[in-house]
Amino acid sequence: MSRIQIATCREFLSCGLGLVGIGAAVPSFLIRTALAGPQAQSGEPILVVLQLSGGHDGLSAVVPYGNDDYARHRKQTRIKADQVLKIDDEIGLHPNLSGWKDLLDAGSFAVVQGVGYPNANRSHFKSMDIWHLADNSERPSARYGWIGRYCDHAFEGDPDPEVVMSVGGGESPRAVQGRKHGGIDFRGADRYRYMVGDQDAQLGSLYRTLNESALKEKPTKKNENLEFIAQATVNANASSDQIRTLVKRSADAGYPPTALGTSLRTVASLISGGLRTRVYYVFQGGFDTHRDQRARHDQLMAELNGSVTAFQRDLAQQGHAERVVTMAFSEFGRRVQENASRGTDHGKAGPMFLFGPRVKAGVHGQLPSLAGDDLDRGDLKHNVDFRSVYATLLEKWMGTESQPILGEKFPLVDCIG
Amino acid sequence: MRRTTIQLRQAAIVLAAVATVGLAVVPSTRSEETGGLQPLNEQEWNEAKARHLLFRAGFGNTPEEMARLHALDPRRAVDLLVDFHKQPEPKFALAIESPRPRKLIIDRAALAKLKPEDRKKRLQELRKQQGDSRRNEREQFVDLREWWIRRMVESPRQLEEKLVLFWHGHFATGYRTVQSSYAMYTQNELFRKHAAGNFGQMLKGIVHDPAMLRHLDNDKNVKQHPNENLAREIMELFSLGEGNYTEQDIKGAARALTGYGFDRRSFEFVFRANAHDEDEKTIFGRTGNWDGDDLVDLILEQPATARFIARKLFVFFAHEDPSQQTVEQLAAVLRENDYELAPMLKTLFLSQEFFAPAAMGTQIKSPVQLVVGALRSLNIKEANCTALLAATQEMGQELLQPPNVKGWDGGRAWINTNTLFSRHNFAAPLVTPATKPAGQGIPAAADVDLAKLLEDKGLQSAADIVDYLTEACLVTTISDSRRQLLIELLEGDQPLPAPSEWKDQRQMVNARLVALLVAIMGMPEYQLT
Repeated sequence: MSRIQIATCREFLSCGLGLVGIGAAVPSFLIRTALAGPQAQSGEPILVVLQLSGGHDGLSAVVPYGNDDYARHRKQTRIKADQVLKIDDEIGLHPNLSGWKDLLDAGSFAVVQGVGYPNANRSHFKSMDIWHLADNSERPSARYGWIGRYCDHAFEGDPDPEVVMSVGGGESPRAVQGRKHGGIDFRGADRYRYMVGDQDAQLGSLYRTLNESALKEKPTKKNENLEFIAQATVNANASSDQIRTLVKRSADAGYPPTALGTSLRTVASLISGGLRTRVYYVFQGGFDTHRDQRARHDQLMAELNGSVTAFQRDLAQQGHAERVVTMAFSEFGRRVQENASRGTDHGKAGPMFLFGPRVKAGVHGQLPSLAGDDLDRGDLKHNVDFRSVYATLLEKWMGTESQPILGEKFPLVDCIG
Repeated sequence: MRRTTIQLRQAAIVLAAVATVGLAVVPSTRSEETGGLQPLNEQEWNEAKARHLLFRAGFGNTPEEMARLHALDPRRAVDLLVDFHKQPEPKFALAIESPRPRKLIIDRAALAKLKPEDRKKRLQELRKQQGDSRRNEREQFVDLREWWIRRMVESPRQLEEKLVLFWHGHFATGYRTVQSSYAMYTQNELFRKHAAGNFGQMLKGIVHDPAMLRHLDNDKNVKQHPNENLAREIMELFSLGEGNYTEQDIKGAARALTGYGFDRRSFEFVFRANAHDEDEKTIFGRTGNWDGDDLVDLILEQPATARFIARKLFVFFAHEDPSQQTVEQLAAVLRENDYELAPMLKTLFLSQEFFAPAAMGTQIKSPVQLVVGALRSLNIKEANCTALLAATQEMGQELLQPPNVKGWDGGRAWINTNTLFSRHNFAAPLVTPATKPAGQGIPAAADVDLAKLLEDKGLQSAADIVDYLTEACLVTTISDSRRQLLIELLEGDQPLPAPSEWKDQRQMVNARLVALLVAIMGMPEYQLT
């Protein structure tokens, strides 16, 4: 890298991102970020994956209100015709999804009905693994997650930790683990920093000095891991400044003060800030509604609606909506027949949700039949393999081949414009 | 097999002779340059090497303990650490009850026969039992994890606990699938029983281990529908390594393991004869009516097994890049001793390559090593185990819940920008006032009274204190200029009073000592061992 380029990027760093005083050791990935910034803003598509953990009762979100079997199977958890936000004569959205209904009318929301996979597993852990890995072959790479494999494939010659970022989760999702990509795990701006420095500025500055000086010193004995740690620390502190500056500047687009609201707000500000990240991974938990489902689920719908709607509005206001598709999934749907505790138990197929102006708005695929004889031991049979949706996003949105990543060729779903 | 071993030993002796005489006629590799597995010469034994040995064969120690080990000759030092069973077995209280059923099944048919009012009452009772059972299981699991990390902090048999951690990562089994703290506990004791014992016995224990059988679905491995999960991972991850077996071998192994299950209530091993395949199986080209124990014997006969285990132990304890020759020689020691681990570990810990520049001070601490070592270096015993476990989890290592069946990759995989902050913020509660909401989520791992810990060490100046604490906390030396920065931090605007006067100004002295400790914990050297 030439001297002039460094000067340019320093200038960009200090002016564009409000970063000053990084010192001699400007981390390499920040240089790339800064240089890629304006270009990244103009085009690279971004995927946001929203994991609904616990097994979401899709029938209570996209409600088949006109279906007699639905009424028969659901007494306590049922959402009635006069409550739903009607999409057509058969189905309607949960009453708390009014923002999603607006998105649908504006052409920015799609549902894929009846998504699942063969020989469904009803264990949260195993089924989540199946969705994360999306490869049941014996290939060695099948241990890595599908997003990790995407990164390994698409950024083969130039691994880049920043290309995937998981925001707000308790642990790193298996989906993002690749052979060369583990991504950045970002659990919230407040903890993404050296907290000692808040209490004691002198210690904060000494910490940076002690790490930077370890890089500058010419040790008598070469210790590559020492340099690696010191460099990673300098990088982390620079990106901490950058990311926290971006998050602080984020506009208030009316996000609810929930975990998901906070995560999506962070994601929106990182996208606006021009990070090179191509895949963001966010979470909403609490869908394991075995008991007294209705009140709990209503609450979850309100939170989802508020967070996602604010996110779309925020992206649109900042001029980035066209670059972003959000995909929501859950590890399984729930049984068609509700249980005796006014809840529902682990089932099989369910809907997936897609957001963004570039999705083909509307309902894709067929709602599986709810009639007793058509069920798979009490569960909805899937019509669409979830890997078809992944394949569609990889090919039609991220612009890469899907077969090397998913191990086989899946029919695409016509849900991306 | 014997013959190979002897030939290898002869080769090793010849190479050693060449190295000693200094006639390196063969193309030199690093292990030859460093003396490979040749034992360390006594005159090369010094304090830094004693410290290296202590931090690798355990989680960390005080400078005093390091000096005690240094006073021994290297062979006796290694014997002391590896023959830990000669020290009394430490006792740590843990009440693990025999397993409760994870979930009480409510018999609805029986309920239906009751009168409506009785039914309601009975249902309530059952629900309460269910809830109690789940809660007890959760609490018991918390106790188990705290018990284990407390052992790491307090046990004088450090290598034992370090090896238990190694085997947990090697035979990676996760609570989330096992769902029984009792089974996780019995597995942990299996690792402890054979920690430095016999690898063959360990592997036999594993094919009978309920936690493993459940984790890798062997309870579903029946003659009619063989499930290859355990068979595959035994070969690929537990013994031979990729490329040293065929799909045919896995099919045979899976059939040999059919019927190896466990009782769902007692979580004890059960051999289900009617589910076991009694026909002939072919594994590694050998045909017979093999069962799981035979499978282990067949695996142990494969030279790849000794190589795979020797390499993994070397990487865990020494460095990530052993030469093929080093691995072969360690594997030979393992085979020659019928897979007894202690002789191989002694060879490893005594070897020149273990003390080579590539090994000393170069290993990135695992989160467990980092937090347990932080306490042990300062001889702090009253640990808040809940906080320690929360900290390791933040840093990416959740005990009894490895990320997948491969265990933790270790090395640089521990480090990303997020985990790095978690590792540095481990020190934050030390300087966060108690009035702040629990260090914003990071509870303190222990109450640290550094003045008390340091006052009788005969440290006169700020420089003495800096030298003592850096020696306790860092395995590598630091440059004069960086040492000077630490001294300046400690001295501040006015000199620190002499230790005899600390009593009266304890709070002020402690604040300054803690600041020094926190600065050291933020240095890149602190992340290494």
